[in-house]
Parts: sequence; structure tokens; C-alpha cells
Amino acid sequence: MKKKILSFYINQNLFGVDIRIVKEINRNVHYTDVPDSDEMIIGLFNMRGHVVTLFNIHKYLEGKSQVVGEKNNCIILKSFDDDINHTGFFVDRLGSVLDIEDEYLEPSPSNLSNVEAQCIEGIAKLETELLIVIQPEKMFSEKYYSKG
Amino acid sequence: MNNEEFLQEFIDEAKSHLEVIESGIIDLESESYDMELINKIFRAVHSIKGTAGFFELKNIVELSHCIENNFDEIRENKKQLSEKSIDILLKSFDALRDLVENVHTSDDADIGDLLLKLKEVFESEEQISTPKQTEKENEVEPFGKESIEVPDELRQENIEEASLNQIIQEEFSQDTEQSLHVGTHEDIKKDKLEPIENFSISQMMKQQQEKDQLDNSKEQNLEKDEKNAGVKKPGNNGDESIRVNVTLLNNILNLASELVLGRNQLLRVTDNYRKVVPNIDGVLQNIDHITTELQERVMQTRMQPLGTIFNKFPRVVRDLSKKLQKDVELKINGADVELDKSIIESLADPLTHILRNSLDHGIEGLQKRKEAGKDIKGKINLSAYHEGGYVIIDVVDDGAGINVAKIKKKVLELGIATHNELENMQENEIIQFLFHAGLSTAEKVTDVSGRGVGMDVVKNNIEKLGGNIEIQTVLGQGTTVRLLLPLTLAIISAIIVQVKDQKFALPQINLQEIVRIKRQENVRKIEYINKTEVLRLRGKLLPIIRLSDNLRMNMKENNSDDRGGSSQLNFLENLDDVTRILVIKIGSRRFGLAVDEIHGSEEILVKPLPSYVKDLRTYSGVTILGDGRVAMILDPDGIMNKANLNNFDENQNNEQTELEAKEFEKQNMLLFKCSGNELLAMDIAMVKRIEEIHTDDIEVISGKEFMKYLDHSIRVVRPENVIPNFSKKELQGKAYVIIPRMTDNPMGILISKVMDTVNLHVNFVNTETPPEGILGTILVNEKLISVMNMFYIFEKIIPDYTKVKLEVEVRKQKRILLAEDTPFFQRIVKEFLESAGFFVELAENGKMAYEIIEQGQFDIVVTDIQMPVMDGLEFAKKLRNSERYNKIPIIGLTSMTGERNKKIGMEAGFNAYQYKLQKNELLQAIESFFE
Repeated sequence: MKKKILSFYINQNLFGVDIRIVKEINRNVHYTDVPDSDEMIIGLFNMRGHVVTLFNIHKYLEGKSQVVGEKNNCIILKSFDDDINHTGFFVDRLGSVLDIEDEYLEPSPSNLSNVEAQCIEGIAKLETELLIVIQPEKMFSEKYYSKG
Repeated sequence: MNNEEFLQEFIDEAKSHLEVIESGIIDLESESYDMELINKIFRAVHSIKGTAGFFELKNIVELSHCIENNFDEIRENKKQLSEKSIDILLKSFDALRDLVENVHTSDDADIGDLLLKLKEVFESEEQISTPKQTEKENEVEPFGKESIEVPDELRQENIEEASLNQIIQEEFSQDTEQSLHVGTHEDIKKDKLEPIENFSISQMMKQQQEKDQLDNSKEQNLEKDEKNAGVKKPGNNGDESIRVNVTLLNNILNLASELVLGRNQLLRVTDNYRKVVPNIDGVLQNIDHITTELQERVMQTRMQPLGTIFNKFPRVVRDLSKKLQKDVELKINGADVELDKSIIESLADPLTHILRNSLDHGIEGLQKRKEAGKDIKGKINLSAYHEGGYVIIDVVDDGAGINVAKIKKKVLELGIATHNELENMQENEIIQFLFHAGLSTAEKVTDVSGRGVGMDVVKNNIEKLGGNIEIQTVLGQGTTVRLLLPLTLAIISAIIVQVKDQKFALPQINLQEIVRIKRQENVRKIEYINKTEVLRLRGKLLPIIRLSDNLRMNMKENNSDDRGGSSQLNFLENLDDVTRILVIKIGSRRFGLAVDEIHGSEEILVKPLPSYVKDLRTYSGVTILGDGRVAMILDPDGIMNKANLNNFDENQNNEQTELEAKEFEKQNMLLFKCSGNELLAMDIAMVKRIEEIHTDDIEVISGKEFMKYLDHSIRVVRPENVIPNFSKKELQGKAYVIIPRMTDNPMGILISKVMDTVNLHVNFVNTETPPEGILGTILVNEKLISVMNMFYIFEKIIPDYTKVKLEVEVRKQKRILLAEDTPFFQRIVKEFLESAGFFVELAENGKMAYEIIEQGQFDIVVTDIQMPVMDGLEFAKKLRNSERYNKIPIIGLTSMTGERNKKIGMEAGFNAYQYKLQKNELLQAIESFFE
């Protein structure tokens, strides 16, 4: 089985998501801050009438806040359960769409914490670097609900 | 479509039939025999029976069949139903509804008892009807013939052992005329079953009737089904409708509003090309119109008539009034008023509760109503109508009304408020306690209402819908509960406010007013109680919440200083001269929400909060503004809770009385200019009104000037002509007149400009005797202002203004001791008294006054009440307790009126009680002691 993975860079590290869960990629996203909200939430953005919650994926993946500009590319995911909860996140730079065979996706190394491991679908060893395929939907909901 | 889906269709359909039946029966009870109505019910029952038979739902068929029989009899006998039979009928419908709602288990239910009862009731009531019956039989003969053939044909199908599924598929693939026959066929099958179970002759006769009825219904059904061909849901004639998923509708709504935004952008962008591109104007205009209309239409799809819930209520009222042994009539108006679907759905419970309350607590028992001389039949009016962008639902009863004293008692018992607090409350404020959790005025707890849960939940529910609830009551005459509801949940009126660089929407329903506070202003300024900011607003303290603090926007700013380093700039902007405060009222609590900017009001489309931010209490939803950006909708209730304002309620009262006590000694002064440049002031208590006029409107009649005021001609007075040493200039053009109080002869004091109002302790700067017409000079913002003596003007203009009876010589011999601490009143009252000729000695407080009185001879004491060291009440008591002065007349002076204060004063020993600025009354009161 081949998978198409959309890759992107966060702080020079290569990550990817299964392209089937991606709804679209937007530029010039004018989002609105949600004062007093969780630090993981960057804000809300209007995608043709649907309200998209933007997450600070830098904080998830790199543990620190990042300056996010509206010029950056924003990956918007398909709504997981219902119409209200569209999600999205900014990336530093888009990579490309890669074909990855299922067997090349290795499970995450055992020295990762439980939560982290759950959010990682697998790791692909590319020629020059590692591609970490994440499951943002788990990331956002797990992190969020485990907190609350 | 599979079988399950057909079944679902049946349930939906049956439900709508049941509604028709129920409201029909209720109507039957109140109205006299109505053939049309009975037919309607009959048809509805028959339809249920028909389709149920098709699904082989044994119990439903049997029950509806039995009901149908009874109705047929009613129809035959042409008589009104007895109450007992209506009870049984209603019960059967309840059972029928239960069966329909639990369709899968319906055949396990035991309905034997009910069937028996149904039969019994109607047998006992049955009158000899055989002759009519035969007539009827003849009448319907032609239809009968038609009907016989089809069942035969179907029966054959049955004999061929077609499986149920086959029948279903076949029937539904065939046209409607045939699907009708399925029902009929089942009926006949039923008829065959019946005789085996029943043996009595009357039953046999019924059998016969049933056949007739069947034939009748055949005709009716045929008619109906023809009309509804192609439409699944039979209902109102010609009303075509389809079922659409609400999610789909919401999606369409979303897209429509996005289209509106898109249109706006398109219009903006193309604005410059309108002249360049030919014909683009027309196209754009067309798009503009269509988009607007599309959005309106989409909104309409979510609207439903209130009738869908109102129809339930006649039954509720009927059942309940029987239970409570009351006689109550419910009138419904405006069942066709439409509201958003989601509002309608969440309105049913609150309304039922309110109605129950009206019935249980409102409407009195029969005996009581008789005693009160009321019509024994209680009336409840349920009406809905549009008013000012809202839908209003009134529940009006003509019952006993709400006893405010009882609420007070209960409030005290529960310790919700103190005696003192209650004392100061208006009646409608006390009624608000009804919404307090745990308060119920029902003396004994009934299973109807009075369990102490209720109105608070109702209020919460209504407020959740963005609505409001009000109660008005007249003891002995009735109560009105009024619900104010927004037309739709989806669109609300909101004020767009801004804090820092972010916009928020604030629902307008809670907004009372907007206050602007200038930094340098003296009248309104933000003050501090401990660390809480408060604003004095018309004598009350308003707690202030800064939105930026509440949302912790300052902290966030600091955290991400690296973002743009603009926090410094924002901070500077905050030092803006003007603070804008939105006064928000939630229930009985008010607070001021301070924001940086107000952008005006907008109709916004409310969207639910994403669940990721749902735990934030300060927001109630999100919306998309005209610029396409998301904005948070603020939840005032959440903001208040977050700011911990709940405690403020109690604190407020203590602090308030303290502050108000000080307030009494302050004067509200109106600052204005006459023709000259000097600043003048007068006590606002003397001002009745300020009118704008044009000097051209002033007419001169025999040397005196007049103007029109409220259909009268009143004298226009130019102060500079009355008061000596005023700079005189001719006023031209726009000007103002002050219409003063305290005089029976209305007049207008002509001024050029109103400058400001200030609230201050009046301290006169110079102690020497001021010029005529001026009480003295005060200093406001480092400016000297002359306080005008209005009474001087009154006296100059109205020759007999001062109404005194005694001779001047008599007055000159009288000595008055005046105790007053406020300089302003010291001057003005002293001036009153002295201008009348009295000798006046002044004391600054009760203690001083007592010392003075011991040293001299006085005929009367005039004393202020609130004074430092020793107040007027204590002073009066002291005088009364001394042997020497217990007979001396004492007049209390106050700047506020009120029976309560008067009573306290009288108990302390005052002989009279006067308002400070009423010169004539004071003089008359004094003279009355010398006559």
C-alpha cells in the first residue's frame, strides 16, 4: 500500500501528514486571536463560512511558541467529527507530496513519551532526513482533552 | 427505501395526525357539535389505522379502530360529547401516541382495559340510532359499490401469499390510489376479526355502522389522497413540503452568508471599474439583489410557526384545571407567528411551566373567584406578536396576582436579602426574586408546581435563547408573564466593540446604555473601592470591568512581546482621553464593561464555539464580521462570573449607603452662561427642563417677552436685565431657556449656553456679602463661578412670589436658629429667611446649635438632618428632652423627600418637615407657628 504524504517543515525538521485528511492549504490566513484561550490555540479563521480553529503546532512539536505570520502556509484539515470543529495549523515551509510505502513507515522509537508516540503515525527514513508522519487530529484532541 | 424507513414515515405521519386529533377533541369539548371537526378527526384516526394495518401493527390498528367506531357513533348521533367520554378519548389518544412512538414494541403493550373502557363509555351513552343508521346506509350506497371491488382484488393478492415485503414494495411503487386500498383492505380484514371477539347485539349493530363509516371514509380518503399525490405528508391542502436535514439547512445558511460577504468584496473591488466595463453596473446590482434575497429566504427556511408548541397547551390546561378543580379557559392568539426552529424547540418547556404556574398559583379556586366577584371561569390568554425586532409571548391570567408581601417574607426567611434592602426596593425589583433559585410562593407544595425549582430555570432557558422574561402583576387582578425573544437564534443584534486591536461582538439585548467618560470630567469619573473600579451613575455605583483585564489581554501582550513590540504603543493609546463604558444588565445586576472603542451595531450571524475553546465562559459563540474575519461573541454573564462580581452585590449596598450619605451633602450644579462671559451656576434641583429656542421665536407683548412652551405662552426672563451688575449683551440666534421648578408661574430663564454639570461640595470662596441676585462664588476647575439666586429672579418677576401673611414688623421680631452644615444651603436658606425679615442665627451642626440656643432666646429652630458631630435628629431629641426647650417649634430640613424619613423625623421631635429649596412652604411653615 502506498500512501501520499504531504510534507512540511517546522523549525527545519521535516514532518508530514496523510494527504487524505488535508482539506486545503491556504495562504494569507487572517485569523482572530481568542484572548484567554489555551496557549495551544492560535486563533480562529473564517474559511468560507466555516470557523477553523488554528493550533500552535510549533508548541506541540518543538515545545516552544513560534512567531507565526499570516503570510505562512496554513494546512487546513478535513473536519474530523462534525461541522464546527475544523482545524488547521501554520507551517514554516511546505515540502512536497511524497509516495511512501506502508512498510517503510516505522513505528515511533520507544524513547518517546506515550502521548507523543500516539500522535505519530510512523517515521519514514528518507535519503537525507527523517520524515515524521504525524496525526494532527489525535494531537489536537488528545492534548486538549487530557488537559481539560 | 427499506421497510424501516417506511415505518419512520408512518410514525412521522401518525404524529401529525395525532396532533390534529388532540386539538380537535379539545375543540369539540368547548364548541358545540361540529360535523366538520368530527370528520377531520375521523379521517386522521382512519389514516393511522390504515397505515398501521399495512405494517401489521395489531395494537395500533385495534385501538384506532375502536376510537374510530366511537367517532362514527358521535357522527351518527350528532350529539356533543360528555366530559367523561372526552377524558376516555384523550386517554386513548395518549395510549395511541405511546404505541406509535414505540412502534416496535407496540404489539406487546396491553391495551385491553382501555378498549373495554372505550366501548363501555360509548355504549352507555349510545342512544337509539338505528333509524338514522339505515338512512345513512342508503345514502352511502354508491360509494360502497366502488369500494368492494378493490379489497377483493387485494385479498386475492393476499391469498397468493405475497410476503409483506412484496406488498410493501408493490404498493409503494404503484400510484397513491392503490396504496390507499391497502389500508382499506386491512380495515376489512379487521372487520372480519371483530365479530369473533364480540358477541353482543350492540356490537353487531356497531359492525354495521362500521361498514358505513368505512365507506364514508373511503370517499374522503380518496379525495385527500388525490390531493396529496406526490407528497408524502398529508396535511394542509396544497401545502407542499419536503423534509430536509437541519445540518444541510445550516450549511446552506453558512454559504448564503458567505455569499453576502463575497458580494460585498466584489462590490468594493469592482467599484473603480464600473465606468470602464460596460454593463457591469446592472450585473452587479442584480447579484446584489439576488444575494440579499437568497439570504432572507434561507433564513426563512428555519422558521416555524409557534402553533407547533401552542397546540399542546389546550390539553395541558384542560387536564391541569381538572386536576386542580378549577375552571379555566385558554385563549391562543398568534399561533402563526414564526420563530427560529431552535428557539421554538427550547420554548416548549419554559412556556409549559409558565402556564402551569398561572393555573396553579394565578387562577384562584372556584370559591375564591366567586367571593372576589370574578367570573368563575378563569381566563388565560396566550398570545404571540412581533414588536420591534422581537417576538413577544404574553401569558396573561386574570387570577389573584402575585402577593409581594409573601415574596418578601420568603426572601427574608431564606436570607436572600435583608430587611433594609427590601425596604428600599421597588415592587418590580422584589418580583425579580421569583427568579431566584429556591423561591416559590406556593404555600403548599403540589405536584403541579411549587417545588421551588422553576422560574429560575425558565429564566435561564429564556436567556440562553438570547431572550428576556418580565413579570407584571396586579394583586387581585392577575399576572402577565412576558417573554421577549429574538426572531432567530442565528442572527442577533450586537454592538461591535474593540479592545486593543481586536473586535468583539456584544449581544445588544443586555446592553442598557453607553457612557463616555472624559479624563478631565468631574461629574463622571471612575473611582476606587479597594481595588475595584466603580462609576457613579445616577446615584448608584456601577462596578467596572475592563474587558482587556477580564480577557487577560494585557498579559498575553506581555508574553509575546517579540510579536511586534507594539504593546508600548497600545499602552499609550489606552491613555486616550475617553473611556467608553457599556452598561450591561443581567437580571438585577448591572456592571459597566470598559472597552477602547465602539464601532456600532450590527446584525451578526451566530455560530457555535469550536469545542476546543468551549470551556471559555467569556464567549457565547463566534461570528464573522463584514470584513470576513472571525470575531468572538462576548457572554456578559460569563464575564461577570469571571470577574467575581457576584460578591459585589452585597458589598455594593454597604458601600453605597456610605457614599450616598456623603452625596446628600453635595450639590449637582448646572453650569451655564448668559449673554455675558461670566460662568454661572444653579442647583439642578431647581431646573425642571432646558429647552432650545431661537431668539426669533421670542415675542414681545407690551414690553414683556414671551415664548411658547408646551402649548402655553410663558414669560422669558433675561437674567442680565434682572440681576444688577451683569454684563449685558444682546443674545441672537440659537439659545436655551431654563424652565425652573419651585414656582407656580412658569417662566423661561434665557441663557446662551449650557456648559456642564458638576457634582461638588459647594464652598463659597468669599465670605463677604455677595451682590444682589448672587448667592456667592464658587471655584470649579480653577474658574470662578457665580451661583445664581433663582428666588431673587422669581421675586423680581413675580411681585407677589413670596407669600407671607404676617406683618413685616412681626417677622422682624422673630429670631430663628438655623442649623445647617452645607455652605450652599446655609446661604440660600438664610437668605430666604432674612429676605422675609426674620433674624437668623446660624450654627454649623447640632452641637453648636445647642450651645447657641442656650445662650440666646429663639422662637423657632430650623435644622438640617444630616450634619457632622451632631445630626438634626439627635439635636431635636436633645431639645425635646430638656425642660427648657421641649416646647420650641422645630422644623426639619431635608434635600430628599420620603415618607419614611418624615416618620423618623417626627418621632425625633420635629414639628414640621420641609424641603430645603421650597422657599414659600418653609416660610409658611414658620409663620404657622407664630399665628
